[in-house]
Amino acid sequence: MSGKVRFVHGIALAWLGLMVILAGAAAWLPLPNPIELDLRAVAVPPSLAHLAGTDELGRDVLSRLLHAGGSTLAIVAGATGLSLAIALVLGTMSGFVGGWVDAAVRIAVDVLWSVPFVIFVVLIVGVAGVSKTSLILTIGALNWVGPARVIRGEAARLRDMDFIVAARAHGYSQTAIVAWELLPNLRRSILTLAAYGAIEVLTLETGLAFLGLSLPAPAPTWGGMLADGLGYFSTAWWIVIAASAVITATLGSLQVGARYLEKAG
Amino acid sequence: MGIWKYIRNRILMFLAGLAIILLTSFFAIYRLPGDPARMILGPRASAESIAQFRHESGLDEPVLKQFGAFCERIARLDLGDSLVYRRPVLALLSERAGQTIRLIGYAFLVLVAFAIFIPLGLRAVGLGVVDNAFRVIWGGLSAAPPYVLALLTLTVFAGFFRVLPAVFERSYFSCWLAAAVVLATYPTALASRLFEDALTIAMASDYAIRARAQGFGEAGILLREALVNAIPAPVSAIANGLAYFFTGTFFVEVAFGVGGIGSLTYEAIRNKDITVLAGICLLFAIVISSLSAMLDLAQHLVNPRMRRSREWQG
Repeated sequence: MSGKVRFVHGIALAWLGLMVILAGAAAWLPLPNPIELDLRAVAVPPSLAHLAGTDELGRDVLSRLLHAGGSTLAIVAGATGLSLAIALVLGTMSGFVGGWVDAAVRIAVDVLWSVPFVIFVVLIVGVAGVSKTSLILTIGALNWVGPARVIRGEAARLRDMDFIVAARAHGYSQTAIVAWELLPNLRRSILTLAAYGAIEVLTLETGLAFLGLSLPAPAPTWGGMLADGLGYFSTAWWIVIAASAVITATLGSLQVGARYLEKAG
Repeated sequence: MGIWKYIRNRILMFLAGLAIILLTSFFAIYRLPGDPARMILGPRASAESIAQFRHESGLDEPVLKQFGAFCERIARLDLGDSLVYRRPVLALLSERAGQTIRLIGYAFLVLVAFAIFIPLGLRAVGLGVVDNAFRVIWGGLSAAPPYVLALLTLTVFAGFFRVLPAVFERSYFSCWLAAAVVLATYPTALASRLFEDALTIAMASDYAIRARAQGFGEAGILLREALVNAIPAPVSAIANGLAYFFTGTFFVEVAFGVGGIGSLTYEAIRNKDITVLAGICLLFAIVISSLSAMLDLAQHLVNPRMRRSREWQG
């Protein structure tokens, strides 16, 4: 932990924490129903009753943003977790065990690397049907390649370090060495990879939603709100502004966090 | 690992990747739930015409034979017809590819200029402050995803200042420039940061101090000594940036309304035009894997350290 903690890190952490708490608790907060239309309050500018205004169908923008945040953050967490788990297993096996396992993982990595990732996700999710689960599984199962490369390199570097050689000389099993010696030393890389992975998944999911390819209406999504709000930008600017601000602030905070972890490691 | 062995392995990897893509596209088109004959002929087709179509297009043959025929067609560059436009996929792709290539080309120029040449020039003439300001701006912009940046650009430059047409106009260079800058933002922020870090380390190194002691000026040290040592970092970031462009163009094209492959993909997804999607997958896979093979080889040749010890991690 040698990174210098600065003001900007505090803000980033506070924003992410706030987002997670508010989005996670959106269902229990005293917010209007995010999919309930109120045609008496169409496109109302921000006020005390509607902190971020209402959209073209009278739905509360803040409520929609927070509910959308819940599903988006669930997808981000799920897909990032899944891809990291795959990357961790394959990366350590490949780097630590070597041999044919290494060769097999290398080929898989090189092959997946050349696959047009976004199109594949869209294709598979389109066929399997768009849902939180299908997005998590598809993105998670395809997005482990980058992290696996890094973890494999780290594992290969650590394999011949003195403390691992010592553990081996003590007669510890391979599994025990991986669990007690290797993994704790990979902690920092894993956190950094998780932050970068979350950035990628968030950009992708929001982008797909922007194109209408993520969770179908009426479920609110950040990207979807951005796309729908565009048509009403001249009359109800707050929809686009609020959605862009939330997306950008979340992505920016993740980037600040990722860079901090990277430098500290 | 010798260079020839490396090249051989790289080509083998490339072929393996291609095989997987072929298999996936094949299964995406012919093996998915839902009868392709039904999908192509529409819900109102009679049982006879479906049977006839299945026979004509070989859908009643064994899977392996179908796959063989599929590969043969691909080898003849026959990607089938679009289900929606009723035109050869290849014609659609080549029609649209020009705009995507143009967009990515401009974005690449923006990236190289702002990641390498402009920082270098500014530092060489002692305007490091301006360079720092540029980097802060790129860093800030890169927090926003490309579609948000696109909206921002259109709002500010088309809506507010009115220097940009609100609808993408192919003959306007400003439209291309705006889309290219948006596409290039993220990799530019990354590459310029890496270049700056590498240059700072190089300028503080022993050989720079020696050169300074011998009386060389800062600009001379920068260009003659530091540059060579700092260049691999941004170059590999630029290489990754190229790969990023291929995904980024999807969002940027749709947001700006550029009629390239990205927009074609979007239309194909919306229309469930599976043959077009498979064609795009194949095209992208070939382009990306050839590019990454070439970049790997280039890095292998440029960076002496990689010639000996390079494993597969970048």
